[in-house]
Amino acid sequence: MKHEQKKISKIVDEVLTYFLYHFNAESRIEVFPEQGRYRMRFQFSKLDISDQQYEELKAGLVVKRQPELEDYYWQLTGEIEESNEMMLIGMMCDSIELTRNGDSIQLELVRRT
Amino acid sequence: MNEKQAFLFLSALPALMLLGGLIIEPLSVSGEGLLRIISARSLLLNDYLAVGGVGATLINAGLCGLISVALVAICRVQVSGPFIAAVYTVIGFAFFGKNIYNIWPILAGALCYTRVQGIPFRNSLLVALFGTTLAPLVSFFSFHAGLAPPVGIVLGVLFGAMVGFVLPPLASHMLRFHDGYNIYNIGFTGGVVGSFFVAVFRSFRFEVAAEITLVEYSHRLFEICFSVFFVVLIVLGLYLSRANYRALGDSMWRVLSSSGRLVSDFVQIGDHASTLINMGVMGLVSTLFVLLLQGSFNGPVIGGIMTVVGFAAFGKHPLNCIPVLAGVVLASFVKVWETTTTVVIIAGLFGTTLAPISGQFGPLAGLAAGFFHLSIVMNVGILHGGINLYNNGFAGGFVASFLAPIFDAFARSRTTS
Repeated sequence: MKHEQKKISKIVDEVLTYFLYHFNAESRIEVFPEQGRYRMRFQFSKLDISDQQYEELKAGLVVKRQPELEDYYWQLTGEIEESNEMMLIGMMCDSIELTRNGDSIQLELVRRT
Repeated sequence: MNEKQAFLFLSALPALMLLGGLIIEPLSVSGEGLLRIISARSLLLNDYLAVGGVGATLINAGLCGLISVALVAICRVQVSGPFIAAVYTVIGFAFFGKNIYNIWPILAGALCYTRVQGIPFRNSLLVALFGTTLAPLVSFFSFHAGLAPPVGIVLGVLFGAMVGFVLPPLASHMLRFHDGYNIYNIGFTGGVVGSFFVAVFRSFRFEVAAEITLVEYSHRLFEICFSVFFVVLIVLGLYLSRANYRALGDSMWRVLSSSGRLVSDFVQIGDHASTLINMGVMGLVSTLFVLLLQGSFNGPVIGGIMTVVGFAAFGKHPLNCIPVLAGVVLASFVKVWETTTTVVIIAGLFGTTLAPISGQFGPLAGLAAGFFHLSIVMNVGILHGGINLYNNGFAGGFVASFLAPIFDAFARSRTTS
């Protein structure tokens, strides 16, 4: 895959921008380059997220990977501050785990290369 | 709706068109018309209803649509909003510019690109389908550049393949110019590529220039048939909801509250039921728009309606489109163009490429986008000489990239103050 590292950094950018813009959340990000894949772990805390917002985030994010769209649209990720590209993030990842614990959210994304 | 049903749905319109084309006129008449379509100039605005007649145009649209559906099926691509938009766009433009001859070199060029890059064709299929916007380049060189037929055909196919080859990386890159606020991004890309190629051609004395050929009368048959089809889409959407109107209302609300900015796949954001209803409603809105402006149902207008319906699965809905349509009409009242002319009507229909401006910044912003769009679209065609069929997408790229940062700055300052 071409531009793989750039795609990873744009995914991180998009997710971080989303949580900063909408919730001004405390954020911790880890990126693990592994054999044949990248694993990204995000920990957001002290966020005031309603049940509806959480469900909307989940619905937008948890979609099937779609390489037929990714190669074309990946350059849009991380471009706009009022970011609404969570669906695009979902389309670029093979596995998405989203968990909520009180005012904290943990998100783990895996992208195979 | 499972994948098999989704493919059946996607095949239904082109199959009906093909069937209609075969029935409506004797095959000998349609066959001759199809040959005229294949050898037509095809540059903007070349109405195939005027060139080849109703039967041949329907056969051409049906076959182009079925070719697109077959490619989607062969590549095992999910029938998502972008691919519904792509297939309907190919069908729509098969009424004025795309035909069963000139689309192949572009598709082949994109296929070559994926082979060179070592990626599956499915990864560039969407760009390839939309990329047939530059198909007139093939027709022009094959039959109208003043070259001997074998030389012309070889050059036409070669140039078509070349643009198909360069479109995938360019299309992705061009998104950043307007940040996804111009839904017809390939239109903008095609405009840039077309202008580049035409400038080179003109320096070798090839005169590429747009020429308007339109049918003079309105086809009532199309008004009636398409209106019925749009109502059927709505009924099908209601049927798919299995009478769970609360869930349907929720998914409709998610669709209608989407800005429409790329990538807004309504099949994912809503579901199949809400997407079909939105497509049907947008079809009726577009038809009403044409009828209110007393426009003719000619090839380009039908193409515009089909494209709007397709993109109602991928970013367009009544709330973000109507302000843009109103802006174009308002502009035609005060500017030098007649409101009822085909060029103004299609500027309105295709101008809904700017729907995300309205969806993101509000209806007044959409009105302004439509107002300025009419002026820009009337002035950019000369750059590519009509070789880029999505001229409104080309213009929309300029309008979006100019207006979006300004609206964004004012929206932001209002938020911060």
